[in-house]
Amino acid sequence: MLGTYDIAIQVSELCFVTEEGVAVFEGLSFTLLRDEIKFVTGPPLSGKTLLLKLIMREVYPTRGQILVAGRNILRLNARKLARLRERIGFVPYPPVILPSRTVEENLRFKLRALGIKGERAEEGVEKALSLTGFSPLKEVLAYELGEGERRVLAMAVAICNDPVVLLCDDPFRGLSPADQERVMEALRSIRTGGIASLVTTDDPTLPRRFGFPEEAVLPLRPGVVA
Amino acid sequence: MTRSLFILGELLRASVREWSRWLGFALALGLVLASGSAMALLQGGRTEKPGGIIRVLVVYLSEELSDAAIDELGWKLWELEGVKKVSFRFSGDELPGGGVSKGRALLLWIGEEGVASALESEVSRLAGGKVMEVELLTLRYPVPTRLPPLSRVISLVALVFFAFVSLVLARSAVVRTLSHWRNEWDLLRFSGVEPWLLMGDFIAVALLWGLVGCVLYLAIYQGLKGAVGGIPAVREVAPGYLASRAFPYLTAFIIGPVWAALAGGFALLLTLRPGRRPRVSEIPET
Repeated sequence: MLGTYDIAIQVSELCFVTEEGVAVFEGLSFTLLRDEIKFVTGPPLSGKTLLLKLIMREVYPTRGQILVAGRNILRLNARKLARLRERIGFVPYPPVILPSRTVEENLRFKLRALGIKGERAEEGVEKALSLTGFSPLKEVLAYELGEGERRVLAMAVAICNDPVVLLCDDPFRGLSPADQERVMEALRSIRTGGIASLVTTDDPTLPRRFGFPEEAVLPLRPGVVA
Repeated sequence: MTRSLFILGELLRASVREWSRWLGFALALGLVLASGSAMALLQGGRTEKPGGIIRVLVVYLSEELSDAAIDELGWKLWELEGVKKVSFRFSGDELPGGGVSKGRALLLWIGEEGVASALESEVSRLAGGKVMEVELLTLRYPVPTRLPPLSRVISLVALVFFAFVSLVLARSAVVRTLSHWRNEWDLLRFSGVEPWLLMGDFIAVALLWGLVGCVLYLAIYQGLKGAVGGIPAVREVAPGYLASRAFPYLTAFIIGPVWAALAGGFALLLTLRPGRRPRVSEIPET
């Protein structure tokens, strides 16, 4: 029996119809556990990025329910949503980092902007650096990093304030196999830190190539005109 | 609060990289205030009719009258018909139109010349005969220097022009600063920092730079006041310029910052509207 604490995200009967009448989601339901990595796969325009935006409530669904850390995000007021939003790590595509700052400064910038200081900030930096394997590279300027490392740095920034879930939008796109391996290694390590990940990708074979079971894949199909 | 201050500090650092644009905005703001001040002060009213005549009855009083008696007499005289104003002069004090008082005197400011003789006898009666001498001064105010109506039109045009320039420069400064700070902006937005917090800090930066313009305006205002304040023509065309002490400070520290914040907010809204966002700079900052 799963408790609220065990579930990072629960999506139930989610429907989204665009203004043009295209039904992108029709009754989409899934659960993401706290120690789970789930891959959202599908061709372009199948709604992968849209799903992440719905989870962050940047877009409202037509119908359905989205629980993040047990809270229905559609019913939260602006202040509570902002607090919950800080518990969702997000890595967009292309990832956003601060090239002129070091790896560690990237993390500290976010933490200070969120008002996280002192011991909590130190713990956050240490945890993010160790989970993503950046501890030896923390003094390196971000623009000196390779493409794969930059994406992992974006993940480190996203998790440094200890969110419940990490949403990654197409983190493998355009990467070499070695860089894909590096990103996947970081995702696995982040999972061991108790942070679930929801990862989108165009490549439906990617999860299987990295040894993930069928249950770890959420396939989406292009929407149809309703 | 500390979050906002941190973001404000970072944003200020980014704005310093575009100091020339922000300084241009500050200067334009100073000129908005200056032209607005010119418009407001050039219409300063004057109390006397241009070129009008004023008559003053100078009543020299006996040394026997006490201060209290003079005070009481002054009130009685003020109640007489035809008397507009009563004032007092010690011996040696300056009289209206030049000259000095020969002794303690009450000055009765009257309108018509005809009432002067009637008042003279009434004054003697009320003073119990303790009047040494009564003198009638007839003064003609010089025709004041006039500014052509076009001067106010010019200041209005200048106000509108500099207001427009300040908006254009604010927009330019905001766009350039945001292009330097785009990665930080996006990172914070994706991290869940509320947009109003970021926008508020951007407006605060505009306000802080605007304060530079306000201080410049104040310095020029007070500097000019010291330089031309002694010129009679200046007193005539803009009496409020020399008389009002609060005006420049209210303008500089209330109207100026409000305008700066509005200009910054307007520029930011224009910059952030969909399809008008500057590109993310992929070039590393050095």
